[in-house]
Amino acid sequence: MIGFNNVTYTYPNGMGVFNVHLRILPGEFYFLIGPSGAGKTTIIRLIYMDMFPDRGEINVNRFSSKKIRKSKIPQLRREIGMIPQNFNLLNDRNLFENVALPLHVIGCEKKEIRDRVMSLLIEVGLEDKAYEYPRELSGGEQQRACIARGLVKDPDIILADEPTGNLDPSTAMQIMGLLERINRKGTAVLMTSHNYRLIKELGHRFIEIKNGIIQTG
Amino acid sequence: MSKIIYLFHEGIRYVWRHKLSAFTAIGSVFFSLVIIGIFIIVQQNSHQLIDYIRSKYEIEVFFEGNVTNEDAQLIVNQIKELDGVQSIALVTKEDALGIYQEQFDENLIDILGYNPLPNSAVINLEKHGNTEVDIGPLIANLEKIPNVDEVVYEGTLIRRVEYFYKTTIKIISYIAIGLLVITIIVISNTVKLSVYAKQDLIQNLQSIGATKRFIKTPFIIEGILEGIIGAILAIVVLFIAVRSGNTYFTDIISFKIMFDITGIIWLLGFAILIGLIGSYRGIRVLLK
Ligand SMILES: Nc1ncnc2c1ncn2[C@@H]1O[C@H](COP(=O)(O)OP(=O)(O)OP(=O)(O)O)[C@@H](O)[C@H]1O
Ligand SMILES: [Mg+2]
Repeated sequence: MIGFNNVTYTYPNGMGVFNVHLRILPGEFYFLIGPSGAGKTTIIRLIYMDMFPDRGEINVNRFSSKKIRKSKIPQLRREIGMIPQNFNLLNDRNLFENVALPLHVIGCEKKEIRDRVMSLLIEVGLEDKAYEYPRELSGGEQQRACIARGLVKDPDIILADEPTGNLDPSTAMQIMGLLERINRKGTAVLMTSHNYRLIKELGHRFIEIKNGIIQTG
Repeated sequence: MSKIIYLFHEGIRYVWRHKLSAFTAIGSVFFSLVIIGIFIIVQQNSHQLIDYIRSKYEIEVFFEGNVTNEDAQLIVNQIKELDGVQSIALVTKEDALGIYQEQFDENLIDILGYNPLPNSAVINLEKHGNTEVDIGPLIANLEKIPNVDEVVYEGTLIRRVEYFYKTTIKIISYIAIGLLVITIIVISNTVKLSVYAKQDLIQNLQSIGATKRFIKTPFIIEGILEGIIGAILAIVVLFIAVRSGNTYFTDIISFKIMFDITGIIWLLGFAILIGLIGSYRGIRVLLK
């Protein structure tokens, strides 16, 4: 589903990720852990082909980083649910509109959009806040809205970049519960975190990255 | 289909979100289209005026004294076939005598004992619509015809009228083009501002797989909408002005000022064009 084959990406300042091997199978819950600056977001960005490796090859579904044409990138991204690190909800749109955005991009009908957005807001417990604006929400609520937005088009992969990063432990656990529930329905989840304790308890497969280099497999 | 509705809706939203710069853009479209509209109205109506003046252009051809009425008729038939001739009327010696008597109240035959006036003809020129009337070639052709003694026409007047008409049209076109260019720049700046203000949205859209076209379309609709709104305002204002002009001035001018569907279509066309070019220029910042 996602495969990294000896991938190296270097930023102009020499930082980056080096010789990364990685395989994530359909339906799997997979952790990528490491301290701040280790290269986790870099790996996420490489997966949705925001940038391309200097060496090696990345495969996501049927797309290869070596062969993909620029015009096909939107198609790849539509198959991925992104939950970005700094939850970038649009401040001038209410939650409903924020969550609906990916569905507008793929051209869903109005009724379908309504149904899917509302059912996801219910799933993340934000149905009462559908018409509120991001500013009016707590960090945890914003994070849940981001998850709803990542999930709304029913992708088979979710990339969750530190979804618990800025949250207090109990809210973090709530988010984890949500992601696990989604995973049990068959969606593969790749989640990054620097919180080792959180991960150890859950017992999912994980790899660790430090200074751009994978430590364990 | 629902995508098109959504993108259109987004376009309206973009206009609404930047009310101030949208207001500037709409205002400048309005201003230049009012000016251009006035030009169009003047042009449409000066047609009536210039056609009237041109219908007064006449060329008189005098034949040699020994040309008989029958020969004169033959020459007249020949002239009728020339380029630029709308109609021609033969003025026989006898006609001329009558005209002379009417004008000067003297009978030449009583005075001279014979009719000294030659056969002649009066030519009316073809109407040319927008193009300048150039009588030079026609005069040359007339003078080449045997038995034509003299060609009389008001050359200077015709040249002056034509020159004035031509220059006016030219100046008006330059001003109109200048206004269109300025308006395009204003719209493109509005759209550019809008693009800058929506970096968040654009990044968001890119990361969830929106195509370039999906991202661009609302901005283009934004520009076109501003053009159309400005045009509609301009059309309404011009329409009211022309209507009240017609009611107030009916006594002074003999024809009704026209502002018909052609003018409206032209203005709307300009507006859409301005909006389109403006927003395409505006979203050039949105590369990658
Ligand atoms: N656009 C960039 N240009 C240059 N260097 C970058 C860029 N983005 C990241 N880096 C560097 O690459 C390294 C890895 O960054 P990355 O964002 O992948 O870390 P991370 O593991 O996601 O960290 P965090 O836990 O803080 O989010 C860092 O040292 C960072 O400074
Ligand atoms: Mg990161």
